Amino acid sequence: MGDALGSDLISDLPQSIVESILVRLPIRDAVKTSILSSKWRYKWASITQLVFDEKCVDSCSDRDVVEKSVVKFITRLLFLHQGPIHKFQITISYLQSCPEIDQWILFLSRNDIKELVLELGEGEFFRIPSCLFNCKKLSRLELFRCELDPPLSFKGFLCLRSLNLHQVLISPDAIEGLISNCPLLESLSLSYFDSLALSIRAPNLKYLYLEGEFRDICLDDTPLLVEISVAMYMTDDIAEHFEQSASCNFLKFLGGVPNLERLVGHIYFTKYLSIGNDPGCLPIIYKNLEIIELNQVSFEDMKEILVVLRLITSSPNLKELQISGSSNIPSATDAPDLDFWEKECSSKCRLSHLRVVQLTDMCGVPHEMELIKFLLASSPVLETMSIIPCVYVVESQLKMLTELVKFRRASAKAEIVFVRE
Amino acid sequence: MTQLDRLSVYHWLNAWCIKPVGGALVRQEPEYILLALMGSPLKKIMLCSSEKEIFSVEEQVMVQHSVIINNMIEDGSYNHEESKIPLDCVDSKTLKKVIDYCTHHTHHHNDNQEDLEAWDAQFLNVDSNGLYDLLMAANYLEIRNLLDLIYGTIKNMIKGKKIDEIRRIFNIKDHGFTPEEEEQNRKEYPHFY
Repeated sequence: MGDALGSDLISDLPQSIVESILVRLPIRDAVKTSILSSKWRYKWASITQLVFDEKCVDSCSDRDVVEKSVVKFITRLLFLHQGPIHKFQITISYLQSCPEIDQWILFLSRNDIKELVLELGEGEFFRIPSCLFNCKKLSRLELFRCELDPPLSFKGFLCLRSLNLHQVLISPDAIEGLISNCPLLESLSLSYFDSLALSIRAPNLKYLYLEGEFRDICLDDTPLLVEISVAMYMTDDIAEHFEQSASCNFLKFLGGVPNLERLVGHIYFTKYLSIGNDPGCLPIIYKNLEIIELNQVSFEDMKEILVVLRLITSSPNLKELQISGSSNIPSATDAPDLDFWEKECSSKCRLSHLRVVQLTDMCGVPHEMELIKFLLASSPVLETMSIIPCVYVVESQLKMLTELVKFRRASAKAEIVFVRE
Repeated sequence: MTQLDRLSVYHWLNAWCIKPVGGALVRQEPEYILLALMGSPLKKIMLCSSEKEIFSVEEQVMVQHSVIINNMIEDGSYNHEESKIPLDCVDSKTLKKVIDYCTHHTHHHNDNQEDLEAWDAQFLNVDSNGLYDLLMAANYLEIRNLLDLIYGTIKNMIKGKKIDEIRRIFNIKDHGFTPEEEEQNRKEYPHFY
């Protein structure tokens, strides 16, 4: 928009267009336009999205100076701002908890805030002020390293669709209450909670992401769940608790999610599901489940293998399967119960939509080979099976290959890709 | 040309390529003529610029890109046989460019990202008035991806640049500040100038 003979067209653009342009600029450039010309003095002041990151003030070697500078910048900006603020995001690692942040949240609660993301530095956790709970229009909340303590009178965020709490100190009752009092909640992400036992009631929940040490999770009322991703860590405490538990974790977790489309598990997730009584033939069919990814499955634990099998055989429309073994070097084992495979896998089982299989960290233990045999024999439209052997077992790779070659394949198109480093 | 020939030519023109509408000839893109000759009648709609020039476009192309036109077709306020959509705030030159954009993106949506971006960059290689007109047209017709493209271009003219440079780029000849205000700004934020 620059000709020597041209005129200044940009300064007279409608405010909605100007805002669309300013909102795409880093906050510093947007505010800078206030000294562009007198017409531009306040154009930035009504943008509805404020995103602050490491670059919003000049950096310098003294952390304290930069921190003070950022606090001053944000406070001043909010003071000059006009109109509603729909999105407010801070992702600044050198900003520690300070009293000004309370004032900012108070200001936001009076200005129709809809999306709030607070990611402060490592250090003392920021204690969220109670005025947050007055933000009636809040639809997305993301907190990192904060302390959250909802008042007793809190009735929930009625517009909240997305909640992401990462390393947040909150009592288990409070968090269960928070989840169940947000009727529109669609996406929930909880990471790094210590030993949480949780019952999730969220009738509109579609996406669930969990990471951390969970003692017990029960999906009580989540019929619309479409995607689940869980990374479960273990402590001795929790391991002990597992030994004593009798209830069936599989059904408590996956018993009420018939619309599931994608399931991802990491670390001890499969082990977690295997605890408790065997559910037997599952009462539920996952007719929309197309992608299953289970990592760190222990192929020496019969119960874990059973979990994997039950999942696969209850998902008639499964398209993609990814399994990784736990990379323990197999110890001299007792003769593995191979009859189990004949009992559990009827030859009539057909995975009629399975196209892609990826198996990683395979050591060549008998149960792994049986699984591969089962998959090859039951997948009439299989296109690719990639097998990536575990790096520790170079000697058994040839043995694995020799066995593999013998297996019957239901799909004439199936390609087996054996990846060697 | 005999009577019969003229009649058959008229019929051929009428059915496939060019419709005489109220005395004006409706413009057709060459590809459409070819497709029409190959026996594939594409459903067309007619857009009328502020200069009363009529452009015929594949309905599918405009409906995919323009929310306004999509709504008009869906709620039935557009009658294929007779009406044209009057776009009084878009001149012919700009309308033709907008149609080019929508058509290219519909027919080439499977191209790889780099090729599409290169085409877009070439497409926006216009002078300031042209960019302004395209922005207004895309805004009026609510063509999301063209708007995003133009916003991105304008944003890049501001991001990371010094104030003097931005004023030059956008032809802001008179900043409107009092000399004292301007001096104050320069003193307070020297690195922005």
